[in-house]
Amino acid sequence: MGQSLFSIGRSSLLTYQQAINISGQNVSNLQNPDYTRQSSVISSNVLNNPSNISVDMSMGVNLDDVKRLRNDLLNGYFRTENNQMTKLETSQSVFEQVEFMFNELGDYSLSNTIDEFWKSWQALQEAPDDLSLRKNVLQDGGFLADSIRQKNEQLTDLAGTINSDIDYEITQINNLLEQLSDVNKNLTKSWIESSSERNQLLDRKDAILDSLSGEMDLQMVNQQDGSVNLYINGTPMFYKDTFRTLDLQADGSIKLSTGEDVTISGGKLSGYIEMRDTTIPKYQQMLSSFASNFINNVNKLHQNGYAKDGTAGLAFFSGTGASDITAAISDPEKVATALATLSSSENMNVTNRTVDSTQVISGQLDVFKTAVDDNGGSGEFTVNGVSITWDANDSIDDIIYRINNPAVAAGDPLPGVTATWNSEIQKIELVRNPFIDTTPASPDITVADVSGNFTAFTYLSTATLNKNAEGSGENALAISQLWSRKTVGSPPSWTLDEEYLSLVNTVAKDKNVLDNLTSNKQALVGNVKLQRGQETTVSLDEELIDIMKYQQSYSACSRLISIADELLTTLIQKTGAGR
Amino acid sequence: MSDNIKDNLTKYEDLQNRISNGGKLTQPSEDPLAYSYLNKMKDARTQISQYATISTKLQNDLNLYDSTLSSTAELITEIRTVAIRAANSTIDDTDRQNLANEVNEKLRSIVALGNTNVQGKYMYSGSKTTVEPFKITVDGEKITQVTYTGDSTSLHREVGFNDTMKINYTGEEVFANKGADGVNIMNEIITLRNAISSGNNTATLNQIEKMDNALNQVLGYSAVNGNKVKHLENLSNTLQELDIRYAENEDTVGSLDMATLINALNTQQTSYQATLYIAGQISKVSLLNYIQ
Repeated sequence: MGQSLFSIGRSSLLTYQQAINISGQNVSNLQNPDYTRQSSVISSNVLNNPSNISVDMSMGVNLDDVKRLRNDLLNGYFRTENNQMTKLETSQSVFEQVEFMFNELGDYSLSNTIDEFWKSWQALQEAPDDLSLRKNVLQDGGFLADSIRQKNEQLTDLAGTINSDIDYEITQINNLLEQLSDVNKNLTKSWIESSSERNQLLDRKDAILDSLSGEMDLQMVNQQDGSVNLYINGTPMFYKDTFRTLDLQADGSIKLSTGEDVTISGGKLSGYIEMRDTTIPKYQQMLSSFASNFINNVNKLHQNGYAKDGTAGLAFFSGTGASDITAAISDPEKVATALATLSSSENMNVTNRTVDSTQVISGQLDVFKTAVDDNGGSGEFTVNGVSITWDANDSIDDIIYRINNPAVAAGDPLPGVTATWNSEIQKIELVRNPFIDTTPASPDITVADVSGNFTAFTYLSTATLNKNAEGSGENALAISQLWSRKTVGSPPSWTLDEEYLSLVNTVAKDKNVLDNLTSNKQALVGNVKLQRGQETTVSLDEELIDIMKYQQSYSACSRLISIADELLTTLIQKTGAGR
Repeated sequence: MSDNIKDNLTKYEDLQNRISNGGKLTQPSEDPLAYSYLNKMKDARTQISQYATISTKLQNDLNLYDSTLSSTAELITEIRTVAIRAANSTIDDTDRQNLANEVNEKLRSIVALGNTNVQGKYMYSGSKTTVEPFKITVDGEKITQVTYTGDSTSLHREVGFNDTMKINYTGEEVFANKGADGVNIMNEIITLRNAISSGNNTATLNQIEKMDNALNQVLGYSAVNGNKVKHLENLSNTLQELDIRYAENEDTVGSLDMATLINALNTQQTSYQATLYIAGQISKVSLLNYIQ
C-alpha cells in the first residue's frame, strides 16, 4: 500500500514536472509565429492485471501524450485561400504599373497626342500651301507613331522584368523544397521519440507548407509518420532519397528538373505567369489593333489624295501595328492635301445645242438626244470604271444622283466620287471621295462614254483633271474628319479615338475588378488566420493558469510522498524489529 | 489587430491623397465609369476649342466676302444710276463719254473687288488661290474683256460636329452666273458702257434691266453669305454652352465633395487612433499583472 502510494507520488511528481516544462515551453514561444501550442494529455495509470480483473490498482498518473493543437482542416483551408490571395496580390502589384502607363488623367496622355495630330490636319486645310503647316503634320505624325511604339515597348519591357521576378520566386521555392525534404527525412527516422522534438519538426513542416502555398499550388499527401509528399501536376516532388526542383527555361516556361512540363494555377508564380503570358499580351494586342486601324485609315485617305509635287498614292504611315508604326514621309511636299476634281470645261448652255431640245423645267436641265448618236437619246458612261446609264427622260439631277448612288451589288467597285451640279454656272463637278477605294485603287477621276456621248454635252471629255491646285486642302479636311468619323468596327460604330479610349477604360475596369477581388480575398484569409490562431497561438493567461494548476498538483502530490513516508515510518517504528 | 491597423492607415492615406488633389479622380481603377466619362469629355472639349478657332478665322473670311459683295452691289447701283442719266436723250456727246468713262472706272473697281486677296490668297479663284481670278484686256483706257482664270472648285471646312460647310464663292458663280436668270456681270457692264458711248439709248435701257438682274445676283450671294455668318454665330453659341456644361461635369464627375472628404478624413483619423489605443490596452491586460 505504502509502496503504491510512493509509486503514485513518484509518477505524479514526474508527470507534473513534465507538464510544467511543456507549459513553460509554450510561454517561451509566445512570439514565435510558427509555433503550435502543445498541451499535455495526462491520464490515469492503470495496472493491467489479467488474472484478477476486479482488482484495480491505480499507479498514479502518466503523461500520455503531448498534443499539438492544430486543426488540419483549417490548415488546408488557409493554404487554399492563401494560394489564391497571393496570386491576386502579385497580379495587383504588376497591374499598378500597367495602370500607370494607361492613365490619361496625368500630364502625359496619348489621346492628347492623337488630338494634336488631327488639329494639325485641320490647320493645314486652311492653308495647304503653307510649308510650316505641312511640317507640323509630319512632326505630329512622327511623334504619335513614336508614342505608340514606346507604349508597346513599355509593355514588352514589363513582361521582361517579370521573368526576373519569376526566377526569384523559383529560387525561393526550390529552397523551401530542400528544407522540406530535410524535415521529411528527419520525421521518418523512428528514433525521434521525444514528442517535443517531433512537434518542433512538425511545426517546421507546417511553416514551410504555408510559405509554399503562397508560391504555387501543390497537392499534399500526408504520410503516417508525419512526413508529407508534394505533387505538382501529379508528379511527386520527393522520390527515392532526393527531390525535384523547378527550372525556369529560356523561353519563359517552367519545367521540373527531371524534364516534365509544369502548369501552375495559383500562388505568386501563377500571378506573375498570368500577367506575363495573358494579361499584358492582351493589352498589347488591343494597342496593336488600334495602331493598325489608325495606319490603315489614314493611309487610305492619304493614298487617294495628291501631294503638292503632284505625286499620289503615298502612304503616310508605314508598319502594321504598335511595334513598327512609323511616319513614312519626311518631305513636306509629299503631304497629300488635295483631291482630284473634274468639272465640265464649258458651261452646258442650252442655247448652244444643235440638237432637239426640251423645255427647262424648274431650273433643271433635261438631257436630250444628240444629233450625233441617234440611239433614242440614251446611253451609258463609266466613272472610274463603274457603269452609269442615262436616257432622254432623265434630268441632270437624276444622273447626278445615280453617280452618287450607283446601282451596284454590295461589294462591287464604286465610282469613288461625289458629284454635284452647279446650276449657277451650269457645270457638273466631280470630286474624288477619298473614303472610297476604286478598283483599281487610284486617286484620279476618269469619265468615259460606252455609248451615247454623255461626255460630249457635259464637256467632261474635254475637262482636265484638277489635281493639286494650291488652294485645295480637301484631303486634309478628310483626314482631319477621322477625328469624329466612325471607322472602327463592323458596321463602323466607333472613332479611332474611341477605340484607344476603350483600351484605356478596359485597363481601368480590369484593375478595379482585381482590386475588389484582392481585398475580399485578403479579408477572408485574415479571418481564417485569426481562427487558426485561436487554436494554435499561445495564450499567456491560459498557460499561466495551467502552470499554477500543475504547480499546485505537484505540491499536493509531494505532500503524498511525505504522508507515505510518515505512514511507513509509523509502521516501521511502531511494529518493526529494533523496538 | 495589426491587419486592422494597417487597413485603417491605408484608408487614411488614400483620403489624404484625394484631398490634396482637390477631390478629383487620380487613379483610373478607383472609378472606371467616371474615368471613361472624363476621357470622352476631354476629347469633346478639345474638338470644341478647335472648332472655335476655325470658326473665328472663318468669320473673318466671310466678313470679307460680305464687304466685297455689298461694295459690288453699291457699284452696280451707281452704274445703274449713271445709265439712267445717260439714257436721257437731252445730254450731249461729251457728257455721254464722261458717263461712259465713269462706268468704265466702276467696272475696274468691281474687277478689283473680284480680285480681293488676303496675304496673296485670292478669294474668288476657287481652288487656284494663287491665281488672280479676273484678267482684263484693255484698249487704251477702255476695258474690252474680262476673263475668268480661276476654277469652279468648292472648298469646304468642318465647323462643328459632323457639320461641313462650303466656305467660298467662285468669281464664276458671282460674276458670270449662267443660271436661269444668270448674268455675266462684267460682260454686261462692258456692253452697257459701249451702248452709252455710242449713244444707243435702246441698248442702254436693255442693259439697265441687266443691271437689275446683276444686282439681284450679287444680293443673292450676299444673303447666302449672311446665312452662313448667322449659322456660325449660332454654332459658336451652342458649342460654347456645351463646353461650359462639359467643364462643369469634368469638375464633378468622379470627384468627391471636399466637405464630405474632410469629414471622412476626420472620422478615419478617429477610427485609426481608436484602433491604436485598443491595441495598446489589449497588451496591458494580462494575468501577469494580477499574480505575484
